[in-house]
Amino acid sequence: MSETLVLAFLALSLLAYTLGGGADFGVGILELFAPKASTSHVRKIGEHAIAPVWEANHVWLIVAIVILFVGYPEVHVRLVTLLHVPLLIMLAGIVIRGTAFTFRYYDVGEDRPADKVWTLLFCSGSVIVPLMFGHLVASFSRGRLNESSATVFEKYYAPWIGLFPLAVGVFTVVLFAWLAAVFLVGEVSKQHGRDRAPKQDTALSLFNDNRRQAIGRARVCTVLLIVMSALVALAAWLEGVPWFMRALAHPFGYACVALVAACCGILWPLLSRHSLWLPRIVAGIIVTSIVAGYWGVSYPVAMSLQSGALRWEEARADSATLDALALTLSLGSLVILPSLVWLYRLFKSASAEGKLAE
Amino acid sequence: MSDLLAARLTMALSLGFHIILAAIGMVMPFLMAAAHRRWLKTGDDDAYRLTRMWMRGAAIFFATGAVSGTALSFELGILWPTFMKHAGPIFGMPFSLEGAAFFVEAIALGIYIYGWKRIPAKLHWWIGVVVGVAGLSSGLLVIAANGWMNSPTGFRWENGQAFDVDPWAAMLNPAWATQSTHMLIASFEAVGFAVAGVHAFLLSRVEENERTLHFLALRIALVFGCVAAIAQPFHGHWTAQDVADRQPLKLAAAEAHFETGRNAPLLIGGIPDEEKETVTWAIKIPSGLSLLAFDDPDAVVKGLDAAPREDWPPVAIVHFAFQIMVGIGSWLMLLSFVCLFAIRFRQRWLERRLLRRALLLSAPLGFVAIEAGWIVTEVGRQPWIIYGVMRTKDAVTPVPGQVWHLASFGALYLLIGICTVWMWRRQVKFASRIEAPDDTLRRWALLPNNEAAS
Repeated sequence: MSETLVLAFLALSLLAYTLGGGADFGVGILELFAPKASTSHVRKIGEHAIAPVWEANHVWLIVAIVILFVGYPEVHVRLVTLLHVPLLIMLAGIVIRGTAFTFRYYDVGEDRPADKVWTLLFCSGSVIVPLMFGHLVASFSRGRLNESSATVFEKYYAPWIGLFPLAVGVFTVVLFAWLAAVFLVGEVSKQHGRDRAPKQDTALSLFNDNRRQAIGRARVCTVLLIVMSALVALAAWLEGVPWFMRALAHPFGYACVALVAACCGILWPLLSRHSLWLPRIVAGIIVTSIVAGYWGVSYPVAMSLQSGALRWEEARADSATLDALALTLSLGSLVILPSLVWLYRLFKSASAEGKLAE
Repeated sequence: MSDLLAARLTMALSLGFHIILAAIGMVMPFLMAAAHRRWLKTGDDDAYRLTRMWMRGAAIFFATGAVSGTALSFELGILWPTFMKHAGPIFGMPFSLEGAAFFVEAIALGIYIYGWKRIPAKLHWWIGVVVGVAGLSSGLLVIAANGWMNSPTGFRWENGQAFDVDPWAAMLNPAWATQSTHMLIASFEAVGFAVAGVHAFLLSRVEENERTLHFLALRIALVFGCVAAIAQPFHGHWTAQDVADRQPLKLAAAEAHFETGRNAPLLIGGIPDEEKETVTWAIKIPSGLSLLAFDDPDAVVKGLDAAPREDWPPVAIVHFAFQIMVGIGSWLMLLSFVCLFAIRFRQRWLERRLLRRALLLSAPLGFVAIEAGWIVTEVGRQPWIIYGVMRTKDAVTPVPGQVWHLASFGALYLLIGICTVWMWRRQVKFASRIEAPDDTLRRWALLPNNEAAS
């Protein structure tokens, strides 16, 4: 019972990090790849969208790592030794990106001498973190981790360098950018006065331009996401990734793929409708299906090692620890989930006014 | 440089960096709430502007602390995988509770910053208090984990494996109470004096019409800092007695007390020589250590000679760090008496150059003392990572080339440190631009309009 609960919380925190943190990182990715003319607009609505919530979103990652080292020490110890290189790159990215964002957002005065530096660091960090996150996820299922490798390269680099991890890394970058792009379509409408189109002509044409661009970005990202999904499958097939082989024989995997495909089809026309929440909900279902599909196909394997699969039940801590962990996580979520909902609601009504408190 | 030393330095650096941000993140919300409360009570524009100023400061330091804390939660495992493999399931409870507290803090701060005029004014103030309380809880919980490393409980250790794990007993370890409250008071002391120092400096720099604001800031920050600074030496005495009981070698290293014996003297200053087991240039107070540690001048105080050399912590570092901490603590306590007297009876003194200079010079001292105190705790626990159970050298990562890890993260933290200081100076420079509250804001806070008030 406790074990199921703890694993459910682990899956939940990874999903929440992908959804919330993903959209945060996506804002930076979009800003990096936006055409020069629309950079400042993307930056403005992006900042408004993530400023109040991005720190809270990060806590999901801390929750996940704490669950791992308290509840599943055997998984954690392999993650932090065998995969320490992508992990450290990701951490450096998180630190650099977070501080650069804060500095840029809170800077005062007209001169802003370091603005360009913050932008560069924030945007590049936003790409590096999901890229490495994808590498880590791929390495868990790739089956090349080997504790008894002789050389440093074989042990600490080879397992996460290759076609499949790269494909999953780029896929994650695209996924996060896509998530942000879909989210920002609604933000454009909001910042021009709730869900109504503005009345004055000049404002109307600006609004239409911004909205058209936002929809265009979301559609480009959707296409990229489908392309990258195919490339991930191709890379997995070429490398003979054990996880992929399982997925091919897994009805749940097929169900998730079908759901994702159907939702992408629904999302396409939805984007241009004046609907705030429908596209977001559909995007949320897509991400949930992807995470659930990955998780469902992997279960009960926690980590594919070269010597065989490490299963969750083999990697777990004592029952006393798992019971206590399940209890603290449940109590914590009783406090956190309602307050998180409150924060989101409050902040959403705030950004509707276009101008935030600062 | 050996991998072990590089790993230890990387950990020290990450913790040393984070601890400053954590202390600021814990205390600033209380200063902010104090100024905020004053505004709600009196309608004073200065109090409002000060609240907004401190809110920005809290937000910036909180964000930087949030990311450095995220990094730290991974560094524990990356640097000490063997330690985390065994210790994680035992001392993990405070970490999982801390996750919840940190979440509440992040959410409450978001609600506070964006909640002006959007939620009832009284509730809004309380949310500001919640930010501080959640921050303090995070701090107290994380220190429970560190306390466990100093006084490991809640398991049975046999043949390099833990059995009969009781995570709650591990969390409620004997060192937790003294250690966590000592750090809590230290945070109020350090941040109170740091903020007071900055505003004392600004008091002499800003234009006449801004002076009342900084004067108010100075008084609020000093009240927090001084009360903490006066309480801290008494609390430190209790902490030291606890350490004398549980970790006699740590106390012996801190006092450079080599020989076990009655009527142990208290050494002030001095340069310990580990090889010759002597201390030169120290002022000796006869029986002082026995008296302080056990309330009895004739008490036997265990010296370093009670243990084999391989179990000794590095004596000189611990002794110097301890002297620095105690020295700063004593100085800040003296300064606090003067400041509290001035606030209560002679407010003009606060405008005197001498006191302002003293406050400016004392601004960084609290943080220096915090770092020194953590050096005493952490280096004083060596060579153990789990006191008496697991040695640090057995816990370090097998990954070679740790010196690169140290160099890259060292450069990263240095850069962020420089940027933070630069950024924060800009905030101070442009602080006067924060506007006085308009009528809608005053109405929301149930205060009379400006015209009506005047």
